[in-house]
Amino acid sequence: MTRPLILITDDEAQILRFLGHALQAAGYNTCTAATGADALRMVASQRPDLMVLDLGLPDMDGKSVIETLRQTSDLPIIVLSARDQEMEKIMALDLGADDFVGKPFAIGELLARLRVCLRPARKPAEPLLRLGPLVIDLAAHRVMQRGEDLHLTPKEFDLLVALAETPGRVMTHRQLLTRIWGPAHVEDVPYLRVFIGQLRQKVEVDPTRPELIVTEPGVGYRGAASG
Amino acid sequence: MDQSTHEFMPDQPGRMPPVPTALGLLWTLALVVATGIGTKCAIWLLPAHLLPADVLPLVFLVAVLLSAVAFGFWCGLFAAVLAFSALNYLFTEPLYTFHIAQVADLVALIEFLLVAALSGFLAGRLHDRAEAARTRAEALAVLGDLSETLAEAQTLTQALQAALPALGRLCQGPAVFVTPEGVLPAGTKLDPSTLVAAERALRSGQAQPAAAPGWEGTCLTMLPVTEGIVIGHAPLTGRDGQWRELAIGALARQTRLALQRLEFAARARTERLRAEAEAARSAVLTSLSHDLRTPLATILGAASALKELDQQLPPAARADLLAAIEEEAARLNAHVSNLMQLSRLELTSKPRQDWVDVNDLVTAATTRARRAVQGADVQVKLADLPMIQSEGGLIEQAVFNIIDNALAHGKLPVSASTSETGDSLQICIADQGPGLPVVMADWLAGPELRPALGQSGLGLAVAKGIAHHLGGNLAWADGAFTLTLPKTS
Repeated sequence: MTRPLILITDDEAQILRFLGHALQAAGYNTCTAATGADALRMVASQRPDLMVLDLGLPDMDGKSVIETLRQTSDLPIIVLSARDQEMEKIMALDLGADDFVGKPFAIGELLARLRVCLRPARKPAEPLLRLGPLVIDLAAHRVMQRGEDLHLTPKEFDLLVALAETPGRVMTHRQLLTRIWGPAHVEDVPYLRVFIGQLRQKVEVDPTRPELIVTEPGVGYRGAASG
Repeated sequence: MDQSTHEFMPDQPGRMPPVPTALGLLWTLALVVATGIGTKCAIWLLPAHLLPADVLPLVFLVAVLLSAVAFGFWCGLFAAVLAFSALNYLFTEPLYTFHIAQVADLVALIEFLLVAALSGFLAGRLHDRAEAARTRAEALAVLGDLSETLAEAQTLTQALQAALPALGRLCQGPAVFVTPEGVLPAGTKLDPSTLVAAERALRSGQAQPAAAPGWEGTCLTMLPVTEGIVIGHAPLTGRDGQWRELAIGALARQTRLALQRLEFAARARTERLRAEAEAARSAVLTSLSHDLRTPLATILGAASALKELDQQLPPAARADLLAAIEEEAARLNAHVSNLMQLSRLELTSKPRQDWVDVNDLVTAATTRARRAVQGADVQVKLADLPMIQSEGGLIEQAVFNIIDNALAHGKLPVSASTSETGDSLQICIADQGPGLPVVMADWLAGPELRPALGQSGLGLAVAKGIAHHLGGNLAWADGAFTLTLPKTS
């Protein structure tokens, strides 16, 4: 099996340096770009399997790199951004980035995100979804937990499906609201919170310490990674 | 028209004809007397058929009309009475007395008096109306010009200076503005009673009229404009005083509006400056946090990679990660100490006064830079320099920071040289790079110590702070930084 190729885009030489060593040791091939224009060129010429993208680039905004790329490609993108730049993160995710890691980060966190994003997409034919101990039967509209039926409202069911379809990957508030309630409700974050709370009451072992539906503060929610 | 204008207007203008001037009355008298004498002479000199007796009243009527047109209603009336008397005295039997012998003559004379009075009245009214219209037009022209100049005024003084000539034209006499900063035009001396009237006008918000001539009190009418500012103008005499008063009220309102506009503009400017300062501060914080965060990200990332990927990492990669951790920890340390130094410099304690050799300090800083940055090519050219009294550690730090900046952002080779001119020493650091961005050059020339908007890195900020702290200067020109230090502080 060939090693996946990761394109690292960051203008800080030191970050490129340690990420290069770490990703190679973790079983990936790497190539690097220091500017947005470089990154777009590398995507065209090297055809990487995933891009790690720092949002603060010297020549262009990282967000416009995502925007440009998304017109032609589904290349998975993991965004690196400072922990306090929530708006930047959310905008990058809504523009089509797949996930984010806040700087500074331990390498394990980045590797986990990489694995999730590189996992092949679920086959549409598959009738069962899994999220931790939950088994979701899409056709029958049923959710089983350790052999028992859970009673979810249609909205709760949709919400659970949305999170289970992309296990381990963050979904922004806006993405969830658009998908389940429609584009008119993209600002109704408190509404979403109420539904997440109800859902946790039904599916989590300890709703005060959720493990299946994890909050990304200020950004959105993340379904537990499988495996 | 607002309330204040009504207060200055006891009567509606035009109801009572204005008081005649003494000059007007004198001219009227002269005209009628001249007409009488002239006509008498003409009767003596000319044949009787050229000047029949029934033409005489018409001749006098002309004189009455002339006076009324020239000097107004009251003069017209005065002329009518005079003409009646002249006709009676000079041309009615018995001559040269005010007696009238025949009833027919009496009737003719009374008729004449009525006609003369009526024409005098009409012509006078016409004259007064025309005069009032002229005054109004003039006042409107003055106010129109004023609104233009007031719109251009940028400061309070400019606005008042613009209003002053207009005020002078409207009151036709001396005009002043009393402001909290003094009296305009500058150098005008006001007597105490005028100042008291000004204060009273301010307190009451009402005009304080000038005292009548010969009476004690203010010699100028004081009219409040706005907080702290009072108009003083010569008392309004003459027949169009009421119109002028109205115009001055309008001038006061225009001036008040102009001052309000200036105040709002000033407030908006202050707000904008505050917002800009706020933006600059947050930009500095962002760049600072970027400076601190990048080394931290490398240290945390490399250390966690060493820990978690222990067995998978080849030996060369392990060594490089360890080196990265060490370098970035040193960078972080440099940032933190620069930050501390900047705070200390901003508190401005006095620098120490040791005897230092600047050449030694430049050499030390260069050596440190070569150690800190791999492949650093720094050429040093030192002149023979006297020792100076200064704080050596600070100078070395400043030189190191400038070299470090050149190595990071400029192009190799970097050169450091020293020289001496007059009562100062120069340390010059040049590189082959593209030079300083404009924002940075502006910041460097300005007094602000903290880095400029969008500027990352504290090194230059500290170097600039040190230069100022030691009584010197850091400047940039032609691709080189020059750190100037005084020989004696």
